[in-house]
Amino acid sequence: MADDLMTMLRETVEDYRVIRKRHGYLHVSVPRERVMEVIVTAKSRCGKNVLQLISAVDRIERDIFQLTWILESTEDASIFMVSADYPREGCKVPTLKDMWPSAVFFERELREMFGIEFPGNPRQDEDFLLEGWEGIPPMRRDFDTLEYSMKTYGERRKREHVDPRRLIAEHTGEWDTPVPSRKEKS
Amino acid sequence: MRFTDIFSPFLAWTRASKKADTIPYPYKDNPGSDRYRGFHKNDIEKCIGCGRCHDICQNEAIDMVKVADADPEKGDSKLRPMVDYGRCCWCALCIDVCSTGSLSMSNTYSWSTFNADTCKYVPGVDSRTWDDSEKGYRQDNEILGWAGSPRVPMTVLTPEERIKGFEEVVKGYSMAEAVVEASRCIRCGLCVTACPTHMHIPEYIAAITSGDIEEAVKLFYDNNPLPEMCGKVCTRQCETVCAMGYQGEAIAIRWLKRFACENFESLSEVLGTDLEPVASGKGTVAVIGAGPAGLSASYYLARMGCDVHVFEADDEGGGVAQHAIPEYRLPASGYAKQMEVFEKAGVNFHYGKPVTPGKFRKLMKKYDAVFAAPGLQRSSDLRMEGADLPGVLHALYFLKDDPDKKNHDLGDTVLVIGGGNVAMDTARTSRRLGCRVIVSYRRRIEDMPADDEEINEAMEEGIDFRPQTIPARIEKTSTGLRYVYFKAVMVEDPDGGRPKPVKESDEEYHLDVNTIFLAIGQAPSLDFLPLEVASTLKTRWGLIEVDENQFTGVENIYAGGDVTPGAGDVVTAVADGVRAAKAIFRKVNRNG
Amino acid sequence: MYCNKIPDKPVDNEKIWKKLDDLARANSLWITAYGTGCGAIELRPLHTSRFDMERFGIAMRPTPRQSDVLIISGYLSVKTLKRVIRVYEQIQDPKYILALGSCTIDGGMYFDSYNTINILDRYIPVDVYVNGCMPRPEAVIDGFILLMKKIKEGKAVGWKRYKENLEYYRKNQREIIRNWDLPDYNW
Repeated sequence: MADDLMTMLRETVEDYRVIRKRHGYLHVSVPRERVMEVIVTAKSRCGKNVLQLISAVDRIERDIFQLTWILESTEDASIFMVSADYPREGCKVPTLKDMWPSAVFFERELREMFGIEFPGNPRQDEDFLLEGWEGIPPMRRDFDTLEYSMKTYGERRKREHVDPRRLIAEHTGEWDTPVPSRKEKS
Repeated sequence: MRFTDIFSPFLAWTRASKKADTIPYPYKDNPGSDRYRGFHKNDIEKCIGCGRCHDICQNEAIDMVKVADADPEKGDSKLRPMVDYGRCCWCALCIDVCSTGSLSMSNTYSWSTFNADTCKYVPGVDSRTWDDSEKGYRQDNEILGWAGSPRVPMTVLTPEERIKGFEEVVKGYSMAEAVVEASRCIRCGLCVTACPTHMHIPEYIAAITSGDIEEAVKLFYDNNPLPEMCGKVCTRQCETVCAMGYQGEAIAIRWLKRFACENFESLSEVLGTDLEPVASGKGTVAVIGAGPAGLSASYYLARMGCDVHVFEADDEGGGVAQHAIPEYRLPASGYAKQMEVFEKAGVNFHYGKPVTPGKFRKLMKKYDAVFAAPGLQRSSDLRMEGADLPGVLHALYFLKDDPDKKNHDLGDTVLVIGGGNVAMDTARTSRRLGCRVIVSYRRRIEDMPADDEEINEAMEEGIDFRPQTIPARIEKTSTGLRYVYFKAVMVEDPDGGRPKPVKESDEEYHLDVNTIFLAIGQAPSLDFLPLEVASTLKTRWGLIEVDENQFTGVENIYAGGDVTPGAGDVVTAVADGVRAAKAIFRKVNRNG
Repeated sequence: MYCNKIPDKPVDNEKIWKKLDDLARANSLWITAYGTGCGAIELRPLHTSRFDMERFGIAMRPTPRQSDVLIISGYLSVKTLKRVIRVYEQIQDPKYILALGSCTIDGGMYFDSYNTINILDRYIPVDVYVNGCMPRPEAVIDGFILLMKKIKEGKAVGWKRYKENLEYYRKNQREIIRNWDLPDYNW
């Protein structure tokens, strides 16, 4: 089973990288130009006939979105995961709506949560979970969710937390030492 | 379909005679299980307000709120956690990490209300019906282990190696050990209150955790110019109140300070090469005595721009802490490195210049303020028959006289009378010189004022402790001295003081020894004060009384260190110096 | 089909049989079968034989038109809030809201989420809060008992508050529901 896939990968793409391989499970990373080719071949030749999920991870440090297509075979329940990296800005990914109609929903979700565009998906601009969302998509890591929540939804409790260290400062009055040995950053 | 199925609707009636499955709540109570995570309880006496529950809470459900004024000596910030049930998710992480084990949960789970603003309370302070609940989730160290790691053990010499010479007993942490030890700190800051000079303990431990030793050293110098000395011989009031010490071992704050002091390149590079004054202060200040108190006052005054002159009777600074503490605890090698900073800061030292009443009058005229920190000069005498015999020595003078270098003939057996740190130092020094050592103390071992660590190490080194012995007299024999004593029993003080030793009987016991050291305390010598000053000063037990600014009440005269009432350790003296420096600076610059 | 006329401000008509009304209402609280968060799972043992809430005259109803109580059982996302408003407005007066769990009080463990509200009281009037995360069925029963007590005393007036301060609630609702396409009011 996995051998099928490995043969297929060797024939289709040269520079793939195996991330993890177990019995009935294979996760590979391929260049983004070849990812559709790999998925199509996996469906047609290797019997991966179910699209379980399309997921995205915001790898902000490397300025990429890592998209992963999770395919499953109904014959032996084996899983094949294909990952590819896309640039964060103006991220455009081909749609899979013609191969799996359910892909429309996964793609709409990614479009809403990360702002990843799927040109060719006819329903990609429809609201999915967030209705009328404006601004940075919420699952992007440069979106400050706490700040947004406090600004939009407020909080009931006015915090009255006292840091034990500050209290000590009040109590002793000697928190500020006569001579700071460190030069203040100006 | 079978014929009997006609009866099947009636079969349901057979349930009528059976016990119902329904739990008849609320007519019958249905308490949570023994370890149910219900509403919070807090043992208010045990809680120290370290804020660890606040730090761990992922939902920001816990605020530390002030319930009373802080109690620094007990290391209690008097902050108590307020739990907000608009946030809490009953994960019980706060209970698992509680440093004292005071926070727990009841097995009560039901609380309905009309007003959502009331869904928060301070457990233990605001009374709730479940305060007395016996059951519920609590910290169980046997099952989970306490959420704290053990202290990184310090490498020390074995007792056999120790008594061979004056090598330093404690070896110090390596970088890796120090980082592991520093990472145990929970940054509650309770130690800062307990420290007399309020060092930035959580901050410098954080700096050591990140490997930034120079930053740590800079933080030391914010309120302690003698960190290396404190890193070795401090009385560690910080570790006494350490939140981690309640269920585990306290963070080795002293050893971390020592580690940082031993592991940086150059002090002047760390503090900036010039050490120029940070404030444009004016005025001239005379400091009497270059002990810890005098040094710290002079350092901060010099850094604030004052012209500081230090008068010291000895040939070197450092005071009794540097010169009387034996080499195996505080090696002289660190002395030069520490003194460099004072000279760089522009402190003028006048060594070998004892202050006399006449000189003191001149100082008062010439300088805007005088800070007197002469320390305790005299060793107390034992008023007892035979105390003036040859061979009866004062421990303090012996320790000051470089016993590790000079050849002192003490004979085979040495007796030390006293139970303080000086007594321990003398006993252990004598042991290193090859003597058999006996320590005689009036009260019990647990009453000894010496550090527990010192007493334990002395015992390991084979020193013979004779607690509850009341000295009777010293006799001269043909071979040496005979120490005659009574045995004592401890009698409770009816006034609530500490128990007093009282003679058990008139039966006399004796020990034959060669040398006897008196280490029963030190007394100040106020001979340097002119009569007109000495008569106006307020004194108690011969010590100078001062206010919270170290001011004596006599115009322009401040005092600090051992000559004022206090704990009588290095860090207290440093704190006195810092306070005096601030007060003197304010005084001098307002007038000038 | 619905009527979108803004409701009149409620008038206090102290009828002689008001006490009797309240007593009857308190003893037949019917719930709209609508779960918004994880707490909906606690209602299953409550309405089945384990805790059997029909002992108190509490029953699940399939439509808001037939019910008196709306349970907000946990976190409430903005998308769900829109549906909750529609459901709540369709319930006949008098109507009550029972809020379960930390999330309805101050956001609970979702206090920093981009899409769940923190303070339920801003958007719809709550009569009784039950603490817990989630509250056990017993605690929910206690919540109902408290609600009954409140109704009998004539103090469960969240529905009146909603009508009186409709502008306030609408303003708060409109602030967070961005694609506002609700009618002015839906009966």
